[in-house]
Amino acid sequence: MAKSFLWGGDGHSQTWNHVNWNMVTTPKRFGGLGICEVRLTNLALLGELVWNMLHNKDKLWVKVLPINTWATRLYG
Amino acid sequence: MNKKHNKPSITWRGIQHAITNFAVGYSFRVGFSDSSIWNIDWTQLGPLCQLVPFVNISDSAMCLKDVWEDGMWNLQGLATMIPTDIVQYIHQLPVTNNLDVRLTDAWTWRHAKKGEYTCSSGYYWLLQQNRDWNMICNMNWLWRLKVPSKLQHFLWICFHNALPINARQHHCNMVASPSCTRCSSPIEDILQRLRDCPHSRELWLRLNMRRYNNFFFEFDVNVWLHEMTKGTSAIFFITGVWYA
Repeated sequence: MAKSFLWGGDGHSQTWNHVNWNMVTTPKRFGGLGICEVRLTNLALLGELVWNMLHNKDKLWVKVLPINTWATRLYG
Repeated sequence: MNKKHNKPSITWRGIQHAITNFAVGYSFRVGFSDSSIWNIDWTQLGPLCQLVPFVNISDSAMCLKDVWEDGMWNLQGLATMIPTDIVQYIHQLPVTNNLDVRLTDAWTWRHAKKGEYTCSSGYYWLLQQNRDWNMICNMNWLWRLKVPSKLQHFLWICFHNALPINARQHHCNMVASPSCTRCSSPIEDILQRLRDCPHSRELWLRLNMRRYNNFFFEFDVNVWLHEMTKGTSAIFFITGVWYA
Protein backbone atom coordinates (compact mmCIF):
# COMPACT_ATOMS: atom_id res chain seq x y z
CA MET A 1 0.00 0.00 0.00
CA ALA A 2 2.79 2.38 0.94
CA LYS A 3 4.50 1.40 -2.26
CA SER A 4 1.61 2.35 -4.50
CA PHE A 5 1.23 5.60 -2.58
CA LEU A 6 4.84 6.48 -3.30
CA TRP A 7 5.15 5.43 -6.90
CA GLY A 8 1.55 5.56 -8.08
CA GLY A 9 -0.60 2.70 -9.26
CA ASP A 10 -3.81 1.21 -7.96
CA GLY A 11 -2.44 -1.99 -6.42
CA HIS A 12 -3.39 -4.12 -9.42
CA SER A 13 -1.29 -2.82 -12.26
CA GLN A 14 2.45 -3.03 -12.15
CA THR A 15 4.38 0.18 -11.62
CA TRP A 16 8.02 1.00 -11.70
CA ASN A 17 9.70 1.26 -8.32
CA HIS A 18 12.55 3.66 -8.81
CA VAL A 19 14.34 3.21 -5.51
CA ASN A 20 15.10 0.07 -3.54
CA TRP A 21 12.49 -0.48 -0.82
CA ASN A 22 15.30 -0.93 1.71
CA MET A 23 16.42 2.59 0.89
CA VAL A 24 12.90 4.01 1.21
CA THR A 25 12.50 2.59 4.70
CA THR A 26 15.88 3.82 5.87
CA PRO A 27 15.57 6.68 8.38
CA LYS A 28 15.76 10.13 6.89
CA ARG A 29 19.03 10.96 8.53
CA PHE A 30 20.73 8.15 6.62
CA GLY A 31 19.38 9.21 3.28
CA GLY A 32 16.13 7.29 3.15
CA LEU A 33 12.55 8.43 3.34
CA GLY A 34 11.93 7.13 6.84
CA ILE A 35 8.85 5.13 5.93
CA CYS A 36 8.03 2.40 8.41
CA GLU A 37 8.76 -1.18 7.56
CA VAL A 38 5.43 -2.71 8.50
CA ARG A 39 6.72 -6.14 9.49
CA LEU A 40 9.31 -4.67 11.82
CA THR A 41 6.83 -2.16 13.24
CA ASN A 42 4.57 -5.02 14.21
CA LEU A 43 7.47 -6.80 15.85
CA ALA A 44 8.50 -3.66 17.71
CA LEU A 45 4.97 -3.29 19.08
CA LEU A 46 5.01 -6.92 20.16
CA GLY A 47 8.29 -6.11 21.85
CA GLU A 48 6.34 -3.77 24.10
CA LEU A 49 4.41 -6.81 25.31
CA VAL A 50 7.66 -8.61 26.03
CA TRP A 51 8.73 -5.66 28.14
CA ASN A 52 5.40 -5.82 29.97
CA MET A 53 5.94 -9.51 30.55
CA LEU A 54 9.16 -8.76 32.37
CA HIS A 55 8.12 -5.65 34.21
CA ASN A 56 4.41 -5.43 34.76
CA LYS A 57 3.73 -8.70 36.47
CA ASP A 58 0.42 -7.57 37.85
CA LYS A 59 -1.17 -7.34 34.41
CA LEU A 60 -3.79 -10.00 34.02
CA TRP A 61 -2.50 -11.51 30.80
CA VAL A 62 0.98 -11.77 32.30
CA LYS A 63 -0.44 -13.55 35.35
CA VAL A 64 -2.08 -16.09 33.08
CA LEU A 65 1.24 -17.10 31.55
CA PRO A 66 3.22 -19.98 33.00
CA ILE A 67 5.79 -18.49 35.31
CA ASN A 68 8.92 -19.41 33.39
CA THR A 69 7.75 -18.52 29.89
CA TRP A 70 10.68 -16.20 29.29
CA ALA A 71 13.22 -18.71 30.55
CA THR A 72 11.95 -21.75 28.68
CA ARG A 73 11.65 -19.80 25.49
CA LEU A 74 15.28 -18.75 25.65
CA TYR A 75 17.24 -21.37 27.51
CA GLY A 76 14.85 -24.25 27.94
CA MET B 1 -9.39 -34.10 20.68
CA ASN B 2 -9.46 -31.81 17.72
CA LYS B 3 -5.90 -31.01 16.72
CA LYS B 4 -6.76 -27.49 15.79
CA HIS B 5 -7.08 -26.52 19.43
CA ASN B 6 -3.46 -27.41 20.13
CA LYS B 7 -2.26 -24.63 17.91
CA PRO B 8 -1.45 -21.46 19.85
CA SER B 9 -3.33 -18.30 18.94
CA ILE B 10 -1.85 -15.81 16.52
CA THR B 11 -1.31 -13.31 19.32
CA TRP B 12 0.59 -15.77 21.43
CA ARG B 13 2.69 -16.93 18.51
CA GLY B 14 3.46 -13.29 17.82
CA ILE B 15 4.62 -12.75 21.37
CA GLN B 16 6.78 -15.87 21.26
CA HIS B 17 8.30 -14.66 18.03
CA ALA B 18 8.98 -11.30 19.65
CA ILE B 19 10.61 -12.93 22.67
CA THR B 20 13.06 -14.87 20.53
CA ASN B 21 13.84 -11.73 18.55
CA PHE B 22 14.26 -9.33 21.42
CA ALA B 23 15.88 -11.59 23.99
CA VAL B 24 19.40 -10.74 22.85
CA GLY B 25 18.69 -7.10 23.55
CA TYR B 26 17.81 -7.69 27.19
CA SER B 27 20.15 -8.09 30.07
CA PHE B 28 19.78 -8.17 33.81
CA ARG B 29 21.22 -5.18 35.58
CA VAL B 30 22.63 -5.55 39.03
CA GLY B 31 22.13 -2.15 40.52
CA PHE B 32 22.54 -0.69 43.94
CA SER B 33 19.17 -1.57 45.39
CA ASP B 34 18.73 -4.03 48.23
CA SER B 35 16.54 -6.55 46.49
CA SER B 36 16.65 -9.96 48.06
CA ILE B 37 17.84 -12.93 46.04
CA TRP B 38 15.08 -15.08 47.42
CA ASN B 39 11.90 -13.07 47.35
CA ILE B 40 11.78 -11.34 44.01
CA ASP B 41 11.46 -13.01 40.65
CA TRP B 42 14.68 -11.78 39.10
CA THR B 43 15.51 -14.95 37.16
CA GLN B 44 12.07 -15.05 35.52
CA LEU B 45 11.74 -18.59 36.93
CA GLY B 46 9.76 -17.39 39.90
CA PRO B 47 11.12 -16.31 43.27
CA LEU B 48 14.21 -18.33 44.09
CA CYS B 49 12.92 -19.27 47.55
CA GLN B 50 10.28 -21.43 45.87
CA LEU B 51 12.88 -23.29 43.84
CA VAL B 52 15.18 -24.36 46.64
CA PRO B 53 14.27 -26.88 49.35
CA PHE B 54 14.89 -24.33 52.08
CA VAL B 55 16.76 -21.08 52.54
CA ASN B 56 19.56 -21.27 55.06
CA ILE B 57 18.99 -18.75 57.81
CA SER B 58 22.40 -17.18 57.32
CA ASP B 59 21.53 -16.38 53.68
CA SER B 60 18.11 -14.92 54.25
CA ALA B 61 19.29 -11.32 54.21
CA MET B 62 21.40 -11.72 51.06
CA CYS B 63 20.94 -9.11 48.34
CA LEU B 64 21.72 -9.47 44.67
CA LYS B 65 24.63 -7.08 44.85
CA ASP B 66 26.21 -9.30 47.53
CA VAL B 67 26.40 -12.39 45.33
CA TRP B 68 27.58 -10.51 42.25
CA GLU B 69 31.34 -10.16 42.59
CA ASP B 70 33.84 -9.04 39.98
CA GLY B 71 31.57 -9.75 37.04
CA MET B 72 30.62 -13.23 38.28
CA TRP B 73 27.84 -14.79 40.32
CA ASN B 74 29.36 -16.11 43.50
CA LEU B 75 26.74 -18.69 44.42
CA GLN B 76 29.20 -21.08 46.07
CA GLY B 77 29.47 -18.72 48.97
CA LEU B 78 25.85 -19.34 49.91
CA ALA B 79 25.00 -21.87 52.56
CA THR B 80 21.73 -22.71 50.82
CA MET B 81 21.68 -25.62 48.34
CA ILE B 82 20.57 -24.39 44.93
CA PRO B 83 19.78 -27.10 42.34
CA THR B 84 22.55 -27.34 39.74
CA ASP B 85 20.32 -26.73 36.73
CA ILE B 86 19.20 -23.45 38.26
CA VAL B 87 22.79 -22.47 39.03
CA GLN B 88 23.66 -23.20 35.42
CA TYR B 89 20.72 -21.17 34.24
CA ILE B 90 21.72 -18.23 36.40
CA HIS B 91 25.27 -18.32 35.09
CA GLN B 92 24.13 -17.94 31.53
CA LEU B 93 21.90 -14.93 32.15
CA PRO B 94 23.23 -11.85 30.41
CA VAL B 95 24.17 -9.37 33.09
CA THR B 96 25.22 -5.77 33.03
CA ASN B 97 26.71 -4.38 36.14
CA ASN B 98 26.15 -0.82 37.10
CA LEU B 99 26.60 0.08 40.70
CA ASP B 100 25.11 3.50 40.27
CA VAL B 101 23.30 4.52 43.41
CA ARG B 102 20.20 5.55 41.52
CA LEU B 103 19.79 2.32 39.54
CA THR B 104 17.80 -0.65 40.70
CA ASP B 105 18.12 -4.34 39.95
CA ALA B 106 16.02 -4.95 36.90
CA TRP B 107 15.82 -6.42 33.46
CA THR B 108 16.89 -3.74 31.05
CA TRP B 109 16.68 -3.14 27.35
CA ARG B 110 20.26 -2.53 26.29
CA HIS B 111 19.55 -0.46 23.21
CA ALA B 112 17.83 2.50 24.81
CA LYS B 113 19.59 5.11 26.88
CA LYS B 114 17.53 4.56 30.00
CA GLY B 115 17.36 0.82 29.61
CA GLU B 116 13.61 0.99 29.16
CA TYR B 117 12.07 -0.55 26.10
CA THR B 118 10.23 1.81 23.81
CA CYS B 119 8.68 0.93 20.51
CA SER B 120 10.89 3.32 18.61
CA SER B 121 14.10 2.04 20.15
CA GLY B 122 13.01 -1.51 19.40
CA TYR B 123 12.11 -0.59 15.85
CA TYR B 124 15.43 1.11 15.12
CA TRP B 125 17.31 -1.73 16.69
CA LEU B 126 15.48 -4.22 14.46
CA LEU B 127 16.08 -2.04 11.45
CA GLN B 128 19.77 -1.83 12.19
CA GLN B 129 19.93 -5.60 12.30
CA ASN B 130 19.14 -5.94 8.64
CA ARG B 131 20.51 -2.76 7.14
CA ASP B 132 23.96 -1.70 6.19
CA TRP B 133 23.76 2.04 6.50
CA ASN B 134 26.21 4.26 4.83
CA MET B 135 26.76 6.84 7.55
CA ILE B 136 28.45 9.26 5.17
CA CYS B 137 25.22 9.75 3.32
CA ASN B 138 23.77 12.23 5.75
CA MET B 139 20.66 13.76 4.25
CA ASN B 140 19.43 15.88 7.11
CA TRP B 141 20.24 19.03 5.21
CA LEU B 142 17.72 18.04 2.56
CA TRP B 143 14.82 17.74 4.99
CA ARG B 144 15.80 20.97 6.73
CA LEU B 145 15.47 23.02 3.57
CA LYS B 146 12.63 25.47 3.76
CA VAL B 147 10.95 24.49 0.53
CA PRO B 148 7.69 22.72 -0.30
CA SER B 149 7.72 18.99 0.35
CA LYS B 150 7.17 18.10 -3.27
CA LEU B 151 10.45 19.80 -4.10
CA GLN B 152 12.24 18.02 -1.29
CA HIS B 153 10.90 14.75 -2.52
CA PHE B 154 11.93 15.61 -6.05
CA LEU B 155 15.48 16.35 -4.89
CA TRP B 156 15.52 13.09 -2.98
CA ILE B 157 14.60 11.24 -6.16
CA CYS B 158 17.36 13.06 -8.05
CA PHE B 159 19.83 12.02 -5.40
CA HIS B 160 18.96 8.39 -5.75
CA ASN B 161 19.25 8.60 -9.50
CA ALA B 162 15.63 7.61 -9.84
CA LEU B 163 14.27 10.16 -12.27
CA PRO B 164 12.64 8.43 -15.23
CA ILE B 165 15.05 9.95 -17.69
CA ASN B 166 15.96 8.27 -20.92
CA ALA B 167 19.49 7.21 -19.99
CA ARG B 168 18.12 5.20 -17.09
CA GLN B 169 15.10 3.93 -18.91
CA HIS B 170 17.32 2.82 -21.75
CA HIS B 171 19.54 1.03 -19.26
CA CYS B 172 16.47 -0.89 -18.08
CA ASN B 173 15.45 -1.62 -21.66
CA MET B 174 12.33 0.48 -21.38
CA VAL B 175 12.97 2.85 -24.27
CA ALA B 176 14.80 2.34 -27.51
CA SER B 177 17.30 5.15 -27.32
CA PRO B 178 19.00 7.03 -24.47
CA SER B 179 18.95 10.32 -26.35
CA CYS B 180 17.16 13.45 -25.20
CA THR B 181 13.73 14.03 -26.64
CA ARG B 182 13.97 17.80 -26.41
CA CYS B 183 17.32 18.39 -28.01
CA SER B 184 19.72 16.37 -30.09
CA SER B 185 21.98 15.38 -27.20
CA PRO B 186 22.91 11.70 -27.53
CA ILE B 187 22.47 10.85 -23.85
CA GLU B 188 19.80 12.23 -21.55
CA ASP B 189 21.12 11.90 -18.00
CA ILE B 190 20.14 13.90 -14.95
CA LEU B 191 22.63 16.73 -15.37
CA GLN B 192 21.94 17.00 -19.05
CA ARG B 193 18.22 17.07 -18.44
CA LEU B 194 18.27 19.54 -15.57
CA ARG B 195 21.10 21.80 -16.62
CA ASP B 196 22.75 21.31 -19.97
CA CYS B 197 19.76 20.88 -22.21
CA PRO B 198 19.27 24.15 -24.17
CA HIS B 199 15.80 24.63 -22.68
CA SER B 200 17.04 24.21 -19.12
CA ARG B 201 20.12 26.28 -19.78
CA GLU B 202 17.99 29.17 -20.90
CA LEU B 203 16.10 29.05 -17.61
CA TRP B 204 19.29 29.00 -15.58
CA LEU B 205 20.74 31.93 -17.53
CA ARG B 206 17.60 33.95 -16.88
CA LEU B 207 17.90 33.15 -13.19
CA ASN B 208 21.45 34.44 -13.45
CA MET B 209 22.98 31.29 -12.06
CA ARG B 210 26.27 32.01 -13.80
CA ARG B 211 27.32 34.00 -10.77
CA TYR B 212 28.08 30.70 -9.02
CA ASN B 213 31.52 29.48 -9.98
CA ASN B 214 30.91 25.88 -10.73
CA PHE B 215 27.33 26.03 -11.78
CA PHE B 216 27.91 24.83 -15.31
CA PHE B 217 31.12 22.92 -14.62
CA GLU B 218 30.33 20.51 -11.82
CA PHE B 219 29.97 17.00 -13.17
CA ASP B 220 28.76 15.07 -10.15
CA VAL B 221 25.00 15.38 -9.79
CA ASN B 222 24.93 14.90 -6.04
CA VAL B 223 27.68 17.43 -5.40
CA TRP B 224 26.02 19.86 -7.77
CA LEU B 225 22.63 19.59 -6.06
CA HIS B 226 24.11 19.81 -2.59
CA GLU B 227 26.37 22.78 -3.31
CA MET B 228 23.64 24.79 -4.96
CA THR B 229 21.13 24.27 -2.17
CA LYS B 230 23.52 25.70 0.41
CA GLY B 231 23.36 29.33 -0.69
CA THR B 232 20.78 31.96 0.04
CA SER B 233 19.13 31.45 -3.31
CA ALA B 234 18.46 27.78 -2.65
CA ILE B 235 14.77 28.28 -3.15
CA PHE B 236 15.38 29.72 -6.62
CA PHE B 237 17.63 26.85 -7.42
CA ILE B 238 15.27 24.13 -6.29
CA THR B 239 12.27 25.67 -7.92
CA GLY B 240 14.43 26.01 -11.02
CA VAL B 241 15.30 22.34 -10.89
CA TRP B 242 11.61 21.53 -10.64
CA TYR B 243 10.74 23.49 -13.75
CA ALA B 244 13.86 22.81 -15.77
